[in-house]
Amino acid sequence: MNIHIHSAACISPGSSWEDLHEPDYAKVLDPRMLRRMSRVIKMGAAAAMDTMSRSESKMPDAIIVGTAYGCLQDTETFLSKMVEQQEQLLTPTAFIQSTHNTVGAQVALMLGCHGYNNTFVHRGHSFESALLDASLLLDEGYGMILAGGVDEATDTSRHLLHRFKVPAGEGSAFFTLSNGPRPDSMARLTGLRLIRDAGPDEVAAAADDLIRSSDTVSTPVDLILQGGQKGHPSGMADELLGERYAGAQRIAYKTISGDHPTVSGFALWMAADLLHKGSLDGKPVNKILVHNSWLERYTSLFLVEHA
Amino acid sequence: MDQGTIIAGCGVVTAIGLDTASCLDALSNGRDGVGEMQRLVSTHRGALPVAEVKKTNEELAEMTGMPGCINRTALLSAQAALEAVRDAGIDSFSGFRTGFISANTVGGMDSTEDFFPFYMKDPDSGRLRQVMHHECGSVTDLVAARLGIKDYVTTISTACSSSANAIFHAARLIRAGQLDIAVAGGADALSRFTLNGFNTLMILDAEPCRPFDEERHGLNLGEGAGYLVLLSDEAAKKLGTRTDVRLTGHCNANDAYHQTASSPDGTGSFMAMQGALRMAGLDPAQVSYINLHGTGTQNNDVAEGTAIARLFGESAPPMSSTKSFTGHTLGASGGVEAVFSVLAIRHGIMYPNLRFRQRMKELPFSPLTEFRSGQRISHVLSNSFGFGGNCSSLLFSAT
Repeated sequence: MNIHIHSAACISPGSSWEDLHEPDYAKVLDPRMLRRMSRVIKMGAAAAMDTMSRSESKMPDAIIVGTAYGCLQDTETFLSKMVEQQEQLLTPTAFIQSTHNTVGAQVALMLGCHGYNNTFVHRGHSFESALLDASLLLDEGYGMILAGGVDEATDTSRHLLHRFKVPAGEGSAFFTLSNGPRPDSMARLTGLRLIRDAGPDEVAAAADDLIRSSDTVSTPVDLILQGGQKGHPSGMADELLGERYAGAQRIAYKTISGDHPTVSGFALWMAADLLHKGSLDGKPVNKILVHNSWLERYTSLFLVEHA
Repeated sequence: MDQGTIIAGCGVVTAIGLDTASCLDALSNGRDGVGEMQRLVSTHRGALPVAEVKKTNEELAEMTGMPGCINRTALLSAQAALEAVRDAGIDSFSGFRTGFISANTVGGMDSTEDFFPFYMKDPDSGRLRQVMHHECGSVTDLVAARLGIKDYVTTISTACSSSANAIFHAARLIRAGQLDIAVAGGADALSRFTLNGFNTLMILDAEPCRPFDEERHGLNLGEGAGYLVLLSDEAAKKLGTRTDVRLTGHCNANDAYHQTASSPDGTGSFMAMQGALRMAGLDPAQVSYINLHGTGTQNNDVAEGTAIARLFGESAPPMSSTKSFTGHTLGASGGVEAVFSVLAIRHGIMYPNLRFRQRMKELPFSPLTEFRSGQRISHVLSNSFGFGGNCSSLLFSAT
């Protein structure tokens, strides 16, 4: 795998990482469309349009989105009205915007893009499945792919997730990807693994295998983005990886981004950003291993290297 | 150009039958599944006909060996997916990299919408069990566990084209050498949420639907599930499965016109069909039969029909919408109709488009009105066009 990341954009409520913030959406999105967009669509569309604005190619060949929860606010709005009004006199807007593919569809509409358009909705592997699909298309000859992940939190989802003891973060991250180098490439995705129900040893073994399979096996990993949860098997996986790649710096990125099913998008954005800069705290950064875990069931590993 | 991906098995459950044999029997005898709401509880009962699977959740749970308290989408999914694996003659996936690529649009909404009134009164009330599998991906995980598949499991949700996209994502993975076997398709259960949603769009017919008819008034919502088992050539050889049908073409294009309406000239539909044919290296004239998306709405049928007229010109093949039998099964429709398409090739049959009376004024062709057997079916095009402009077409061929 040797996927070039040309541009990347991220929206995250976390405020402690450099210039991360929720943008003035009116600067990135058409105000007429903005009026009718719910928050998750704004987050996804803004990140998508922002990354496109920094890509030299203005039309992707494919748009692929990952979202575990889809459009929660619109779903809730329609459900509530349906209950309150006993299925009478309902209006369509919230229903239309509630389908999981709305973000991908809105981006296609804004760009006038007739190309391949897909949405993956598989919990903690939603964004990863989108990346995997992108890699398959690139191998088949697609030129440039716009791929990303987005998930929102609403008052209701926060409350319900709290009852389930599940983190209720939110955010979006979008990337332009291609198979060939471009002058403005930020970084390369050189490895991707999706693993289900894996213990720490299995994760460490998969990371080993991922790195061994890359072209740059002799270059050391110099940074690990750790997405496990302390006190849980995923936290142990983080520690094992830290021991295995002892020379690498480490960042527990969820202290910055919070946690949600597609937060690995944030991690990939962070990796691409750091590789583009080339260093962290004065030390070189050329090869990053990202470990993400969601609900102790959905593990993913990315290998991201300098362009 | 490779020869396509082997389809070794299919499984289906709809309003017209609980498996492929009973669905085929209904299709060949003109027996549709549209009628008055029996199971779904809604104030629209009696006013809006639907196409329900004629089993309760408890009955489906017993048939599939799934827990009784889970949502209906998962139960329907399990019913069809299990049949597909049996139909392929596969006893065990051991030794093969196997994936389950499923699709749905409602997830566990049929259960969530029962929970929600309690939540609205008091956010700490309501049984969490009713919402724990709300997510689309959670439904897939439940069925993956029942099937015993864990190497790669994912879920796609692109409205009415969902399970068509799932099927060819699976084919891609097999072609790329990342999987040996994949069970792919989709499911959706009827829910008040979707019934009311579609009702607000004013595209539901208060009578049984009439796809591709000049006097059509909209769609009937249905429910169900349809899955295929796809294999690499090597896996097929090792397992000794049938190899008589292949997925030889597929294409996903976006209409990029409007969130819910299709462009009048069917741009996305045209591109999807053309792309599938191109991939298979076929001329339009070589298509034996088109299984239409054919929902019965004013908009879809004219857009789809126009796109077909543009692509096929004078040589449009026989075509029909089996939604006249099963209703529109939403996220399941791509999978259900893929199964019907595969069966058309296997059995040399073509299905009628029920309740057709008058050709649409915009189109130079009419759909089939009677069931045909003893046909030589070489290539079948199956269309799935959804909200968000998501248009997908699958091309199946006799090997």
